[in-house]
Amino acid sequence: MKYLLYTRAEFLRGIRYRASFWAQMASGLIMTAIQWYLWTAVYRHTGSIAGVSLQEMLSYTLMGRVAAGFLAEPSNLRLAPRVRQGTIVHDLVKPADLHFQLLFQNLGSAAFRLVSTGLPLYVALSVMGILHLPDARTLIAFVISLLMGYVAVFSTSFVSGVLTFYTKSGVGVDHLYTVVELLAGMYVPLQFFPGWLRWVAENLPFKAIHYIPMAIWSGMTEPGEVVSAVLSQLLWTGLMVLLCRIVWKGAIKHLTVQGG
Amino acid sequence: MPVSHLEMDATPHSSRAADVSCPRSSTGAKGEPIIVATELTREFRVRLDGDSFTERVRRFFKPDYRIVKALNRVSFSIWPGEAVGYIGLNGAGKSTTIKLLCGVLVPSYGKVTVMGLEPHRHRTENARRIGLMMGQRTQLLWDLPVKESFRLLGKIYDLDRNTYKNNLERLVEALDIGSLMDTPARMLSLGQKTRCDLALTFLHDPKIVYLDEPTIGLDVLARERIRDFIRGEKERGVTIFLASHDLDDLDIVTERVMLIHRGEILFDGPKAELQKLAGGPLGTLEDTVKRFYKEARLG
Amino acid sequence: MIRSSSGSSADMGRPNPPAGGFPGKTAKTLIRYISVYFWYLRANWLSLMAYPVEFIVTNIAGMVYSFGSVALVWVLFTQIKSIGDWSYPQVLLIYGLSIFSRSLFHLFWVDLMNISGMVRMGDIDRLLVRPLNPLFQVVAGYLDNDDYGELVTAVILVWTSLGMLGQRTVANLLWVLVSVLSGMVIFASVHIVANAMAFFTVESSGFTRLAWTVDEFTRYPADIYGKDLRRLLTWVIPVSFASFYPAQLIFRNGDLMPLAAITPVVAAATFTAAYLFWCKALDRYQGVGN
Repeated sequence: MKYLLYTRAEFLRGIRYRASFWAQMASGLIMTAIQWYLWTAVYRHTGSIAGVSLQEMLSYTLMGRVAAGFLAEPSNLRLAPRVRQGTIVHDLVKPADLHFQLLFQNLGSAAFRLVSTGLPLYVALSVMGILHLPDARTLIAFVISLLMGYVAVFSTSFVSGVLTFYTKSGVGVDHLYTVVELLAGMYVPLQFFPGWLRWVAENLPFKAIHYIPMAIWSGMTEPGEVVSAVLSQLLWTGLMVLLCRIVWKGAIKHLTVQGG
Repeated sequence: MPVSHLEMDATPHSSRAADVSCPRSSTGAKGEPIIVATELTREFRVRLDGDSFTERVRRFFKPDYRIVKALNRVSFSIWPGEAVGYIGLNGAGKSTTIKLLCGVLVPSYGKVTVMGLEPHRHRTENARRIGLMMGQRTQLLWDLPVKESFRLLGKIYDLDRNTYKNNLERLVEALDIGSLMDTPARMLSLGQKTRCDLALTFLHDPKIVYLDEPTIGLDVLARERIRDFIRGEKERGVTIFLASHDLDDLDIVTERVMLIHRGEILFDGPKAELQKLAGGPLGTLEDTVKRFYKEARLG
Repeated sequence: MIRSSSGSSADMGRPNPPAGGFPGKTAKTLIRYISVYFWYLRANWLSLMAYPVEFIVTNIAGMVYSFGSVALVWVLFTQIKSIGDWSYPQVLLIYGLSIFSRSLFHLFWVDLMNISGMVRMGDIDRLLVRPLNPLFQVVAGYLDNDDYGELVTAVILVWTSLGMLGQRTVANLLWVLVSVLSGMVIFASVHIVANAMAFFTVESSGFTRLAWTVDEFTRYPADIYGKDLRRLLTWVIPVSFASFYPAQLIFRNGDLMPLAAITPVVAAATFTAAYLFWCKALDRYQGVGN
């Protein structure tokens, strides 16, 4: 499949720079350590918060750290600079569809980060006895869910990236992403939220990015609900991909008719 | 020592270290040289990438390096008030030479003195006396009216009010940029930007100005304007060192030409001599370099 | 100076005469740098004003961003009473000091993050042919335009938490000022070291990110970290002095007050060390000792 060539090229780019790579690894360790210490301190005087035990909480956030590189927001999806610099013309005349090209290209860098920083971290955490492999059924559900998480985060970025084409610049987009992170459950699981915020988060697609896979992994999602959780994630992700296609086709039309 | 016999014949001073203090210039200038480069050498370490997937993965764990000589035992002297064209193909070592002369880089081997000082040891002192213009990189503040760039640069060089005013007036007139002063830099055309950049480069009365590809991308008219300006500055006694990969730029600096190829100087002498040795009018730079390179190797 | 072509070669080759005695010269240099800095600030602010709408939108978004990150603390405290042994207002004050220092650092020192780009594009070379300190030029050359929002959030956090603690006194506010300036310098030092790595390796974004991650430690009370880690963050990479220790002076925490009091000294020492490292790295870039 030709799109996988983009994946490979990105992977090779990732290993070009060693020193930077080790520094990135150190960053991952630090974030993990902060999370571990923070939650241990939070649970010092209590056994359970919002029905979540310390073990579940650590499993949720630390697996979140392992997958952080994989689910990181892609940074190359802004359409506005491509239009301004005129490179969009090259993108459009290529036989590959830009949307899918970017999806697979970023899958390459995401996979690289998962293998290079996520995997060693995971091994270290399981040797230390902090993370445990769940049963096969949960594991399969988690892997599927994680892949969909990638599609969801890519789609979120892609839509906002295409929108920069209409706003003519990317101001503010980066900053608003924290709100997405919060609603995706990257800071705390959704059951920690006060009632109204939880309602908002449950009815937006962002939970498909982080909360659903991590809740499956940590066991916060009851075994009986795993299938329905994955199905609801599939629904949300499908809707997001559809939205990507719509805004992307709209942008192409706008570009070709009005010439940017 | 890869010095061509051509060069020996063409110029009274060869690029051999012992000769560079000889106070004679190929173009007849007198006195002490203002720039003396002796056996100037600069090496870089380049990490190898690898062709295949597995090779790249292997080199991630165990990198291989290669030493590249950007400049190899180059010697020359430049006298005050000279205008020298430093010509070579891309990657020949032009920018490296300029960086060594400016004190941005330190020689791996050999020595350079500018007005008696080693540039990198006396960086700020040297900086006050030189100007550098890099053709592709503007000094202008992108979003601000051009005059703001002059104002800030005047402060950076600590010019007193009168010097600043006089120099600015002179440059604005010589380069005809008065009407651009209130325009934001991002709205200027390339030619306008280049003229403003030139003015910025000369604002602090530098004694030596290094121009790295100053006319890149410019049309004939804009080139002519720049040529006239630079000639005028030379008349005022400024030493000009112009690096370019374009033989047309030799129109700007008519007298002395140094031809550099793969980190070595193939020719150093008057432009007319270069033409004579090349046997007729110069074709493209590539042809000229090829011809000289071949002959230098033979010699 | 070349005033006319005739007089140009007379003073060539003679170094500039020394400008007065040692203290006079230092004071003069200092005044010169401060005045040039203001000219840089002026140019920076004028540049921001070139895009007023973007400026406002970015800063509102920036405020949303910083509130978003504080949301973790807020959401947590809807469920719990304390983190470790620290109460809600105490955690808020530490968090507030942390982002206060950080946003000041970001506002005034952000161009440190561009060093690797400047190396790649040759802008560093430009700085080296100007008669000013290169680090100064990097820092003065660009102001960030999107940190005012975070700064406002930080001020609100510190103000509110001081009120909740019943500690909103003039002395405390002055101390906050001293500590956030020290914190800014400490963060700057960490980032100077991290970004100077660009002089050793082409691609240094990993180090840039690493420095950002180190900053994260300061958001929470430093004593939740293990003993060794805490020592590291106190004496080796002293970021704990950017939020946790200065806050102890406001909490009137007897044990840690001496450490709190030396915050400005730590900042000065850290900056000195970072600057020496910067000089070494720059030497390396120029190829000294090759």
